[in-house]
Amino acid sequence: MRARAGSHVWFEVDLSQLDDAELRVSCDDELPAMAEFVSEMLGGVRVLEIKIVNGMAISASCDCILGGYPPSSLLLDVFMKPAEALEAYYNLVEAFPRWEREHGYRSARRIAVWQMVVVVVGHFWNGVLSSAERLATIFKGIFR
Amino acid sequence: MIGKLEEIVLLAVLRAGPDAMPSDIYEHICDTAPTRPPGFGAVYTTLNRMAAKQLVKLVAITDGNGRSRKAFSISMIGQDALRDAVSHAAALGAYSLAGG
Repeated sequence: MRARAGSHVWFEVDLSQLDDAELRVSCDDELPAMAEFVSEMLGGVRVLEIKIVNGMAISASCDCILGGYPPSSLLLDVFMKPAEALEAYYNLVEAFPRWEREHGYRSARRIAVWQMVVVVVGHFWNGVLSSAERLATIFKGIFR
Repeated sequence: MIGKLEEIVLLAVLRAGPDAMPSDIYEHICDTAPTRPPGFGAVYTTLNRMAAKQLVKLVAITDGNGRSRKAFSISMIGQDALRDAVSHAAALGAYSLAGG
């Protein structure tokens, strides 16, 4: 899981998972006590809100419970026009859950980054092919 | 004459219906692929390439989240190209080889 400092993250959590030391450490200090209270009052699966106090909370068990974010669009933003980069990124974001379901969160991120590279290369390659085709048409016209 | 990936993408565009977004088209390809499907980047690049060749029509739409998106539909040129490719494969006995 990754979030900016100060942001609120909503997720559904199985309270039995809070016995996991890694999850307890990566979340707010008050969470175990709060979870115990919620567990006593309600029990089972409940939605909790956690405020990320400082930077990132990273946990493999969090990834399993939450699912995750696709990688940032930096690569597309650098090499493509803003509208084209945004369009490609929206489509990648929509394809991301499928990769996550099939390969897991970390592999899905790797696939998404690789597909961004392919999109950028394809974008330039399309430009080269279009120019080549235009030139071929002109030369065909001249030498006919 | 169109390539195999173009043929697959055109069929997926046809199956996805009018004004389909690239992610929908990719979903259709993945759902129906008998083996490993082509990568998202290859499909996306092919769609843009086919739009330049006017095999598919490109329209701007607004998606459910209010974002401006590109959507693709098959054009008449695309339908002709697809018919040629499929009938050529059929004439060579491709579907009987595949058990169809």
